[in-house]
Amino acid sequence: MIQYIASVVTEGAIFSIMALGLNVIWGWVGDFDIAFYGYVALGVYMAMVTTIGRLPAPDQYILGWQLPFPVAVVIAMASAALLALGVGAIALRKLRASYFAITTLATVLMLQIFISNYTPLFNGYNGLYGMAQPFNGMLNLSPQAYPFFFLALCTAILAAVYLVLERLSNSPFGRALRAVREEERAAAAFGRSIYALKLKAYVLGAALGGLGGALFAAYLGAFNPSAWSPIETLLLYAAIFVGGSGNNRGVILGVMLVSVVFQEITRFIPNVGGNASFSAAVREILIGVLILVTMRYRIQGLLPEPRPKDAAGEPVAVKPYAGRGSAAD
Amino acid sequence: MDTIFLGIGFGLVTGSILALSAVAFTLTYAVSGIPNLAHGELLTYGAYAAYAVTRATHNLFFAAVAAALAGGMTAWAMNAAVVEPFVRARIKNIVIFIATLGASLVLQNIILLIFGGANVAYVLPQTESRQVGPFIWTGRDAAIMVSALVVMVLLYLMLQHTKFGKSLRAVSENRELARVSGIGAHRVVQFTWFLAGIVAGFAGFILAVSVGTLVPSFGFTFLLVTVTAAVAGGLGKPYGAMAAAIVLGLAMEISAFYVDAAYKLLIAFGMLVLVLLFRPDGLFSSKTGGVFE
Amino acid sequence: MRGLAKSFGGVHAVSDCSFAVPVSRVTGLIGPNGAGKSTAIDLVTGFKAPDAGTVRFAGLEIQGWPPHRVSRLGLIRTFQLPKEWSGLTVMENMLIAAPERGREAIWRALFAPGPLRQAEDEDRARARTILEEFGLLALRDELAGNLSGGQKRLLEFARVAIARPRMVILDEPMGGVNPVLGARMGDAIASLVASGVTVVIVEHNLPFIERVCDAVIVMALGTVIATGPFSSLRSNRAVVDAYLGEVPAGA
Repeated sequence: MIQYIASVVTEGAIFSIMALGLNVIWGWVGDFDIAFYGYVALGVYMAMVTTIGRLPAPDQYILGWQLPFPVAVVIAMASAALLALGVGAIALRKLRASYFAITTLATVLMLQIFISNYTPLFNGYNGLYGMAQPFNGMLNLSPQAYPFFFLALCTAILAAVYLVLERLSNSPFGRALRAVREEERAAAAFGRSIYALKLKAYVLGAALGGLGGALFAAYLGAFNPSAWSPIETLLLYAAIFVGGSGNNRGVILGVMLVSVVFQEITRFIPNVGGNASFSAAVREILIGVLILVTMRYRIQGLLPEPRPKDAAGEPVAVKPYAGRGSAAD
Repeated sequence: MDTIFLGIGFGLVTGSILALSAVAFTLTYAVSGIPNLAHGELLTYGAYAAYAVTRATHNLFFAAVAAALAGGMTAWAMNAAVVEPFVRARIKNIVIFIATLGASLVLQNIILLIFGGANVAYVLPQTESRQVGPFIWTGRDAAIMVSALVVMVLLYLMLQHTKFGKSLRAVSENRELARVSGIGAHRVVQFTWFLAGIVAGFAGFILAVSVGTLVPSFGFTFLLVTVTAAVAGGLGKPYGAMAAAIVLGLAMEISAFYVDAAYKLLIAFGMLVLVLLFRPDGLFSSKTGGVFE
Repeated sequence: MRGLAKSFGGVHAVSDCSFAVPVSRVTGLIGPNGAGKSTAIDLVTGFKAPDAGTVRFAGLEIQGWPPHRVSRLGLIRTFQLPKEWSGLTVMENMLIAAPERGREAIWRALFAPGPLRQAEDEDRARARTILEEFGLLALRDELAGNLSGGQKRLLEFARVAIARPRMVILDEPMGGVNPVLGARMGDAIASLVASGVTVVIVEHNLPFIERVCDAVIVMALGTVIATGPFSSLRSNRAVVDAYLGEVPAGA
């Protein structure tokens, strides 16, 4: 039981890192990016091809290095950031909101088709396997003890990511991103390059996706194209919507509620009528309904975006604002 | 030379199915201003309804009617349950757009719940290939193209020569004004969704006939190709969508003879990205996009 | 600005439109609906790219520049409807409007938070002073989206004031503003000019233009038809015709 909980919480920590990255793009700047899981997947693949060495003959893929895990993490983040730089440089330049979203959906599907069919890259449909447990070469922990070490590692990285993002969110940089989200013409009129700010946020978010992907690679040990799709991105969004777009703590809460508690509980729904997909279908329907209800009735999520108070001076009475979703477009 | 005609032949079949799907997508966009990401599920519902009917009756005509009705009702419900309430609550377009993606997830999994995830197929009569001029088509291909053409002609007559067509144009030209001056604007929107659903449901049926098998994600896979055609035709412009769909169908099928068929969709999505970047108002528009224009 | 032109799908919104505005003065830009005033502003401030013509500002040719570069040169504009950052507080609105000077670099936020906060505190102090002048100080932690229409107009002026522009173009600042607030805006414009700012006002409210402007430019059908002090325009045949909706002679 305790092993199970450790595994579930580890997964939650990894998903939190991914969701925090996505929240930079959606929560801070307001760009609806559907390609995000592509950056996560690239992180997974890159972490694998830089650590697992060469697999026997029929399997083929690039690099095949045996680098230490931390180096692989850096490569995974850099690859995701680089891909995002390319995609963002094209798609963020002049596209309207929903066109940008459609472009990113096309991008992730193109990526998936390409990686699935072009075997020399990441072994196509068969995918990769044989990822070793990070640092266990040195630690020599037992199979019972190692998951707790890995949980601690993921939690520590999550904490570091959280602290960095909190600092950025409260900085002039974070504020400028939110200004672009609220009213980009005014941001341009006051000297902000919308394109540069959006691109910075997009690359930053994707790099965190790559980081989450590298950890996920170590967690899963094996990976192939059937493990990722636009739906995975939507699950991360569901967590962000429920927890609170733009609020780092809210995002982690959302991941724990949606991706961990909710996912695990619905795993116990029995399959009815010989339909092996029954419980999975029920789970995804509930997640879809959750997204619809949040979007309609509580766009700000459980924990709304924090509002910085001007330090000096007397407290003022503040009435709640209906939230950014309610303004006419 | 033979392969190119073979490609053109396939392209016309794919293009005519795509034309119906793209017209439906563009009509709902015209009246609601939202690219509907649950559009693929209209095709899925049409195809599965037809599947249920063929199993019970073995009658393809009944199956086609069932597909159209299922698509129509699903679209009507989608508008009534998701799009309209969100629009009325004055929620941002991008959020409504996301909601349609949520609706897609729900609808797709309802099918998974009822029919399971396995491939299913219609029982279809065998048809022979026949040479028509330089082209080779099966009887099935011919039936698909002729029925799609009939639907398009009916749609054209409806849009050009009825009172409904006139009001639809008025609503799509200025949604706000139509809503305020609102004689029947609301009902025009509802009926347009229903009509688009009928067309999309029928498109789902002929797509399934053409492909041979269907799975719950069948429509979602076709969504982006549909969006490509609709955007290339100029979102909200029915005839543009039809023309672009034929062009796209030809491009995809002809290219499949020269590159690995697995990359067929890659080419379609690549075209989508290019169109969005360089002709966001459609291939046939004189406008070019800009940051704030 | 000389020979500026812009057309949309064959319709000439602005054609061969030329005018100059005097430094540290208030110039009004008036004209009937569809005269091309808004397009002219968009062309000058980079929100639309001109098809032809030049825009000179601060000794540079700035036509075709992106809006943020025009703004950083000290030419700030407002919009017909106040475009506040509604999900941010009034104070945050002020801090974003203040000149940025590299403060938004990511590395500064991560590695130099101390100096960054000090620099911010100077802006904050200035913002408080300006908000006090506009009577918005008590609302500084309120979300800008919750302000009333008039308060949003005032915030717009406060943002312009903290931005320290060389020139500002106000697009219909009097839209939906009551007379009391109007007087306050007159004062705000006067104090901008007193600090050396060049002001251009696009407005339909002619009494307001007469009261605050030193000179007026009249546009009709996409081009300038008259310039001069307001009093001289009453006797100008072309201007009167344009406002009566007739095509001016010789256009």
